[in-house]
Amino acid sequence: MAQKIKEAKKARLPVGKRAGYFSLCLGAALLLIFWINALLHHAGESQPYELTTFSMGSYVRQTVWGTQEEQAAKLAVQAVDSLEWEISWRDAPELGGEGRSILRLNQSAGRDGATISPATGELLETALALCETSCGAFDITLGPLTRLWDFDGSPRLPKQEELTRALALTGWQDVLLDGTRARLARPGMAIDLGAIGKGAACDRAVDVYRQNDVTGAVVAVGGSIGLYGKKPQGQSWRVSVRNPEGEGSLGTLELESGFVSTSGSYEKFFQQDGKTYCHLLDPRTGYPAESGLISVTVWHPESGALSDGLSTACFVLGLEESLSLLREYQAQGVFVDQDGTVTVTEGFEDRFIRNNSGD
Amino acid sequence: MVKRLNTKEVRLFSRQEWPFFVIIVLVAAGIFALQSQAPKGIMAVVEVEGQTTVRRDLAQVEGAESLPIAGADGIALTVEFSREGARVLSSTCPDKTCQRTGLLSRAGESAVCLPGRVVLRLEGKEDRSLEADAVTG
Repeated sequence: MAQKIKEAKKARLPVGKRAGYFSLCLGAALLLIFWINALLHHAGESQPYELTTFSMGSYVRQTVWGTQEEQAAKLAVQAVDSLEWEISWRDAPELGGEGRSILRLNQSAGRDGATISPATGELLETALALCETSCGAFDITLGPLTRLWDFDGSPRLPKQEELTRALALTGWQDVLLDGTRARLARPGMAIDLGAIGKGAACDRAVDVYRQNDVTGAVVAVGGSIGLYGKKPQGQSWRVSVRNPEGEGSLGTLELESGFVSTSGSYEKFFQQDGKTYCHLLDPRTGYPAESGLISVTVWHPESGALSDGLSTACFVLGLEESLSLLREYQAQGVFVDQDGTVTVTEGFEDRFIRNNSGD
Repeated sequence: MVKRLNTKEVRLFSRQEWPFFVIIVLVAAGIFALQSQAPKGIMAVVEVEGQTTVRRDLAQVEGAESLPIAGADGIALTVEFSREGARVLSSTCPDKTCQRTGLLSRAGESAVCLPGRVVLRLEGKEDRSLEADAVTG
């Protein structure tokens, strides 16, 4: 027995060495655990390039995956800036006038027109088709009205005679477009592409992604969103829809691709004599639209400009008439009315996940 | 005289000590499981003119914490962080759109002050798959 105990003692290392080995094993075990943990949490997750800039009177946020993601995002910024330069109606003489398609067109109203860039020509063509299909609920010639209300500057309630005069200078039928040549029929007319511009900016960014080996990207120009390609692990894109009645999110859209825009009465507004006036004008009255809706979100599979323009048209038209317009464009929508009732089109029933809390 | 140990006979740990290692592994597995189930943390990010100026882990915030932010064109904002989320508490900008956005509580949400070129947004610290990729509205 005594011999056995002696053997056992002999077989073990001295206490100091055993403590050393013990610490080593413990350290190795912990390292292994952290490594496995990190591996599981970040498996296949490549980091995107994220960039925030300001353009189109809004912020532009890009999240881009690819081999040259930084370059693609920067080129997209240039493309969006260039679009703004082409389609903005605001004059800035100190910056020169070359390439200012819409400004030049507005300045030539009632005369022989102006030469516009091919891209602006295509955008005008898309916009004019929507003006017609929406029976004028969407109208790109509201320049005289939007300047009067001045929602981007010092908004005010115009006098009725001012509105009547401005309304007489609107009318999409008096925009004459022939490729890269355009003309406004009457002096004082002015095109304002504000209702389609942010969506068109998403189109420009997505075009850049397509040409620069981007594998997946999401661009947000204000509330207009462009989705391109796939995320690294192939999940659906998740677009949160802002709750128009308060804080937080109304729900989330799970989408594979396409473009999303929202028009809401909460975006820009002012109050006077106890009444609230929002920036979404009804081209038929010259006053803010009162269709019973407070927010419309529209998805279009191929065009950011159309998703943006359609959301404005639907806001003006109201729910019933919007449904047939969206069908015509193979678009889908989420509508919120004044009572807080949420309506989604058939194609969105499985894609719109409502927040239970509504927050 | 140095007594050399026969390496064939050496055992690092006795049989009685091995259960200790089993316990360590079980505890580690428990920590790992708990960590996997824990809600993912949220980071509040403030950007001024496209540059990140503040990153705040909301899980680390005690009570409500407010922070002054200097935006572009002399516009001054105050943002508030809490465990519930982040918000623009006040802004000297004319439109106050950022302030009206209210409390941001989910990763992916943002409040934007255009005149001050300030963006307050929330991002998930780890798992991006559950957060919104963008916000419309």
